[in-house]
Amino acid sequence: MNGAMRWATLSFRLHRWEVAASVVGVLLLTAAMAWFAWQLQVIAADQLACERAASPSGCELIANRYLETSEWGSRLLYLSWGAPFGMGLLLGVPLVAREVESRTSAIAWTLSRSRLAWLASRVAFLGLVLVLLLAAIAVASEALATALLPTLDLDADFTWHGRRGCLVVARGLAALGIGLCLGAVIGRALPALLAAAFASALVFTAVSIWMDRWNETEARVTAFDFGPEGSSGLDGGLMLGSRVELPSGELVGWDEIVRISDQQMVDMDGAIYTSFDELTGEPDPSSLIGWDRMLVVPGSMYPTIVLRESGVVAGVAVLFGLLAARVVVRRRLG
Amino acid sequence: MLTWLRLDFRLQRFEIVALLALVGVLAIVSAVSVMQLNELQQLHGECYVDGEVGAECLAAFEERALWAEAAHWILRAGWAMPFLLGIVLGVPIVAREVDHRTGAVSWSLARSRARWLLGRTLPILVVVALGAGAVGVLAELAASAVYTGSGGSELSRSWTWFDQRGMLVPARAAALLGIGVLVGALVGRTLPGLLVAGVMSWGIFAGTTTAMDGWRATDAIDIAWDSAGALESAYVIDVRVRAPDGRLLSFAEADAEQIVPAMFTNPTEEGYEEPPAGYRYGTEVARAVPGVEYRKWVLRESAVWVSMSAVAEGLALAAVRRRRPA
Repeated sequence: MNGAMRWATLSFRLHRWEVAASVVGVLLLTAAMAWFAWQLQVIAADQLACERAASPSGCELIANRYLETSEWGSRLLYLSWGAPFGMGLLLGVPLVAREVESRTSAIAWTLSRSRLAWLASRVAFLGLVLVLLLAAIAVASEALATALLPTLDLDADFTWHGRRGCLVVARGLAALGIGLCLGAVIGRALPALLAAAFASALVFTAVSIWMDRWNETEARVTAFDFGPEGSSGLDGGLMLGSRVELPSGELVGWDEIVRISDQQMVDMDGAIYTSFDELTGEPDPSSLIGWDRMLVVPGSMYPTIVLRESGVVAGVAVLFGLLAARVVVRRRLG
Repeated sequence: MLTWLRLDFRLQRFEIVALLALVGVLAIVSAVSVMQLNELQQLHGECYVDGEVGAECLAAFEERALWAEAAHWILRAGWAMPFLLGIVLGVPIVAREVDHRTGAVSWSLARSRARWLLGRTLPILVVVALGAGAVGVLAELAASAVYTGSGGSELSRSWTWFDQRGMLVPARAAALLGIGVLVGALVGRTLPGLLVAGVMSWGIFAGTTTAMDGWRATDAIDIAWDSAGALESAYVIDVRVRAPDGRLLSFAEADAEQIVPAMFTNPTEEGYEEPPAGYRYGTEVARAVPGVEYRKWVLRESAVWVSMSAVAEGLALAAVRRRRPA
């Protein structure tokens, strides 16, 4: 017990500024999210009561208040998207970089049983802090999203994908890994922070593109459905792009269609024609070349896709963590 | 000066190179997008023949939209770069010396701490001013290419994207550099200093913007919403409804008095429709600073930011003088 306390105290002292800033930031964010979620529920209850009382003028005011509150609430979800990257880098970069920069690494590594043991004990503390803080954000953002969209089953819906749930935690760990690795390689905190921010942008873009390709294997070909209420036909699904379904059933991209003809006309059912009557504007049925379709991963796949993406992102974290360990082991003292 | 410049570069070479490389990338994107936009703009004029638009033109319009988006990114950079340049280059000037415990040596070797700080800050100020100035010019060019292409007339007399281009960009960067140096001197650690400077700059930026809005309002005039062209280049502060008896009302007040704002209030005008039963028409009036005042206010705001930079540097000097050599 004493050993664990000593470990936690020492680790906290070494990173007190970064840990304290992260804790304060998360407390403020989760408190704001909880407040907005509560307010939305209160206003929704008022709205329901107002509709029952049939007082249209008062109801309009409540509806406006609801809209305004939900607008501010959904802005907070942007922060829950950015928090894992910011916190991961802030905690990860100085872990090794500061020791190297202030030339204390030689002492720290000599006093430890091994460099790996030293690194593991430091990473374990910051990783634990990060997971706990990001888990709080993930839970709070999930609650806020539920309050913002009470009629949807968000367990089967891709709305605000990546701004809620366990992906928030996994992304934070990956950012921690990237920061740790570049901090160990560069050995200076500020340059490493800039380089890690740039590297994170590249890595997460690559992961996102790769995940889209993988998710395409689960996607269904769906017709665009602009119903009377502006329904997009997504039904909680994740749209991966649009394709053209040829009469043969083959799916091709729009660039292929542009190569066939520089003129296309799409009717209300999504049928694509290459010529039309110039007087009436009616399409020529014989010029039908296919149908405009979208690739959608159904909302029911949400938990599977989130787990899959979290796994991939956690894999990135492990990979960069191992790279960082290798760099630390091979680094010269001093 | 050259010695100081060389020393500063050595101490902060990674940050300087990274940020100037970013400015270089912005310059390339800006040059290409401005060229493409101007080229496509010429084609745009040739597209409409007898009211018809050909397929080639449709593709050109799409391409134009893409390049316009790239130009908008340059404008966004015009807003964000002062923060990045000022804080990333400003905070470590003092904080790194304290953090590494080299402050004692540096300050003892210099003739005075004031000279040391001046020698360290001035070259960085030059780098920041040049970098941010370049971004301001690039943003001005990008804005001009988008603005004229969208039918705008003269950007030097328009408030459109006023805080993302031109002289305001280096002026803000200078102020944020000062704030960065000050926070670095107070906190004495680089990464925590970055965090504090980020939060503090955000607060100062929001406060100054609000104060400038209030000051600008003294130059505002009422412009009727249908005065086409006048509002396009103006800085709109508030929109109200003018009642038939000439009083200015908020939208809620107008609604309570059963007055609806409309574009066409005269039955002889084309497009006029009868108001809903029991309602009267009012006109929408914008309280706005006209475009002709743009230059004057940009100069004023730039002066405010530069003064703020000087004040922050002065406070940083006081903080450095009082710091114990660590």
